[in-house]
Amino acid sequence: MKKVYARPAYCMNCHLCEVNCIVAHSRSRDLFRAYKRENLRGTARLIVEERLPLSVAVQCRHCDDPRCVAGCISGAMVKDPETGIVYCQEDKCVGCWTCVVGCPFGAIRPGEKNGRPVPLKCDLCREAEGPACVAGCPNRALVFEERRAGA
Amino acid sequence: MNYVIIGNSIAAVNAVAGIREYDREGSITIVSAENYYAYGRPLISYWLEKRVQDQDMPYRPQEFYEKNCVRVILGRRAVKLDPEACQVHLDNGEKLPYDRLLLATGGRPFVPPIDGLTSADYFTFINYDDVRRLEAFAIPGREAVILGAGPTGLKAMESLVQRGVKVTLVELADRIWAPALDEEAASMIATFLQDKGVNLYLNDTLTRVYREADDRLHLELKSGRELQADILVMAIGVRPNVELLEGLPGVTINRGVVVGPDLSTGLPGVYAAGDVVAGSPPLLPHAAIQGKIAGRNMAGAREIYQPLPPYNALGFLGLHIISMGNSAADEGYEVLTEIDPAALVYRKLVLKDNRLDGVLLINKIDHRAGIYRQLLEEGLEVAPFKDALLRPDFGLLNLPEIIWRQKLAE
Repeated sequence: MKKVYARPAYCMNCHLCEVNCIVAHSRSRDLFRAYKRENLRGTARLIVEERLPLSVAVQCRHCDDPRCVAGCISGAMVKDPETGIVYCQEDKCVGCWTCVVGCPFGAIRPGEKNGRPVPLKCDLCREAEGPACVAGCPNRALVFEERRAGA
Repeated sequence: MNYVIIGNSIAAVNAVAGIREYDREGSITIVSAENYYAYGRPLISYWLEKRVQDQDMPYRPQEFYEKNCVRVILGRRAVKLDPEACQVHLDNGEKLPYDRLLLATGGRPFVPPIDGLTSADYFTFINYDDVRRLEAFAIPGREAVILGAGPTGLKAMESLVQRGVKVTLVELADRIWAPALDEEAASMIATFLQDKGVNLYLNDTLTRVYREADDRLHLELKSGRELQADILVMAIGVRPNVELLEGLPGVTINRGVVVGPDLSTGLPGVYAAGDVVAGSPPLLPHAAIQGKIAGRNMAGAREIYQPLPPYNALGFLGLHIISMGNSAADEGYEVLTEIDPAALVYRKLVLKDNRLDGVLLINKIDHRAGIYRQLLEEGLEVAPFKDALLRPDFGLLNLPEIIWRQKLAE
């Protein structure tokens, strides 16, 4: 399947991937409203790690056997058998955070939306055209591509 | 190929998924003693609190069973396994033939012999039916005693407190959730609970129970304390449901059923997964992974189950705990901690030979928990980045470059 791959050599630590992720997962799809009205600052579904000068955006690897799915107590976290995308059905999540412990990449954070718990994790912008982090990366430090045959 | 799965919880559902990766055609039958399609058992406390409704209980939508062509027999108990004839007998006399059989029968609450105790005097806290029964009794102002302050007792406590019930926890050990929490963490959480109005009696247990004239329970404790209660919940552990396998040749039972690395039981074509398996931590992620692997192997794969250290995420009354591996250990280990009692924050890494052996995270939980778990399971030497482990910016980039590059490329 197509996944987002990071190219750390090209990452300049601008954090625009986070901004674009937040907007893509907002109700308004508008930068100003997402930050100032919807209060979504800090809710990016990827994590920019910094060991300057090195930086890299880490997001869900959409594993073949996802630990987050195996550990989910409510059945909220699933891997779509057709697309391979691992995502959380947020209205089913009870916020136990077993998914957070499960993720070997540290790509899931505990979060909150409308007073309900939600795991903050990449869903490859499955309801949009493609990952907003990739589309908005000014230096092609993130690419969306198929790397493994049959994966 | 004809597959029969006894039990219909997390291991069973994952086994169906595992089978269907290799075999789209074979028939699959699930037999469940409960009257419900699979639900995550930990959800029962959320249901009792009304944070989860009936329609949110199913672990997978109904279409899961249809899409995977699974016949589900609910409310029927498997009473006998006949390995000679490759048949399972149900309690209505029906006999189900199998080519591959999965025992995903889980466990049942252990109830110790207590003087005067009858089955009408207590509740258990494992099944949907347990909380449906408990709901009518959990009325504001009533008093409950919960025997056992492990994960089950603590989640029962939370849901009863949220319903306005006054709760007393009675725990035989010298601290709550002793296998996961060290003394300091347990005492911090004990104070938190007492602040929430929960009574906690440690080093104590029930010795005698009787009904008083007003129908309330009178409880006598080992310490000499006497308590009155409207509700008694037994939450001191589960015992694997191994009855179907008892006395069968080739099967070894050591509390649970002993399985090979492929999760086979020693009987031809018969596999086991989840809480019924000997030595496996009775935890949901472990049951899911075992179920998936057993399912694949039943359908012809040759996959090995690598026993996983326990890991658990438990939240109650707004407090969150993550424990993994040897999280309660102190003596004889190198221990790194970050403690802020005022914020109820406790973060502890247990190191053995410069490898993570246990992790305990209370109230400051972020994505690094997953990295710790992976380090612990892989047994990676952490000496080169030990100083960074508890730093707020610790992450994949602290690991050796060859490792983080490989992870990013997955």
